[in-house]
Amino acid sequence: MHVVRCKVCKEHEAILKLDTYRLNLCQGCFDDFVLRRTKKGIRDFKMFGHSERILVAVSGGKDSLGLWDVLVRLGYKADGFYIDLGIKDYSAESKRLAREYADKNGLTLHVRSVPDDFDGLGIRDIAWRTRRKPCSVCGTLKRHLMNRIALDEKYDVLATGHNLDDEVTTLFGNTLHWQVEYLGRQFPVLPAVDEGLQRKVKPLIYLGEKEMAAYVMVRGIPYIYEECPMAKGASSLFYKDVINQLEAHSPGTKLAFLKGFFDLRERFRTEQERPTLTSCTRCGTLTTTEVCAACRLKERLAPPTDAGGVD
Amino acid sequence: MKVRYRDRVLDYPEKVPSREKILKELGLSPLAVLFVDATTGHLLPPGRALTAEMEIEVRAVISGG
Repeated sequence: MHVVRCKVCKEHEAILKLDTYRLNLCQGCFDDFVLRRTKKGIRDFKMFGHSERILVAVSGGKDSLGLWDVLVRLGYKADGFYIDLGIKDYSAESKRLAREYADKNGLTLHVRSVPDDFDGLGIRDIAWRTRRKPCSVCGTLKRHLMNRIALDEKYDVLATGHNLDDEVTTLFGNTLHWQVEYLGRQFPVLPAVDEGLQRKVKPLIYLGEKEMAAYVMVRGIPYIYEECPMAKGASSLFYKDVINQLEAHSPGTKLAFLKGFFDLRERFRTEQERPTLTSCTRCGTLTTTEVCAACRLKERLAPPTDAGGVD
Repeated sequence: MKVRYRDRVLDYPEKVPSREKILKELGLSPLAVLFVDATTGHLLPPGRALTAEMEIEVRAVISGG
């Protein structure tokens, strides 16, 4: 039987080939690789320290559960936060997996539900009724609920499982459409704004999708690997395919593209980046408008209060 | 050999294909998947020969939205 040895320890059989680094790694060395790459991301971008309270946004997928696991193993004070999006079986299963991980490891998981806040409506119904794309509604509500709980429960930092592929894909899309304002804001750390919006960080910035999927598998962490049914046909999936073709042709392209952007990022930053923030007149969340995006969604769903124009 | 990918099942009753051939048939990039031994649930090590008795899962790792 042909056995490929680990390129680092040269002793054990490799379990995974990392094409970007031309590395075959055994289970132990791969585990070490993931921990070191996460530590590097946290250190390079000064994301947080061991004394700070971290809230990890957990979806039940490989990246968020993997991130939570890595942070806890690295000794950080990290709790989880799951948002039930009301997407029938998908939400039920992802919530079960998030709870299972928390219970098994004796960790705190906060749970909020979109249907509880929106008269029983899930993302699909809210999107349909407000004529918006599901991913757009989902993003708005997730940001709102994450900011809310981080503030209410006094967390210092909000951590999300965005990985290298996610960030490269976002950069690719923003560059393709010259979304200069978005380019100015794209970074693995978004600093806190006043007392209302906590710092947001992406510690998996140096780890790709394949590495995170392999990590949760070797750690024996059950995760939901079906694609979110709302994401079907999303541009990001197409972009990821294109980027993977570039990476296959020239390994290292993803990382070089992202690092090159970080070096040039200052050029995209403008004064408009820090708009004046005020408290939402409905819920008190910090917002750039009189009523925050989540409350505006609620108002668009509410039935009219008068008959308006009927004689 | 049986290969499962999401709802699809590919059956190779005679000649065992290479990983590259399986990916080509599924239209997938090697960067977008993991090869899993469906019997044990473990990752299939690189270089490990595929055999006619194996049942393999090609697991997509890409998530979007």
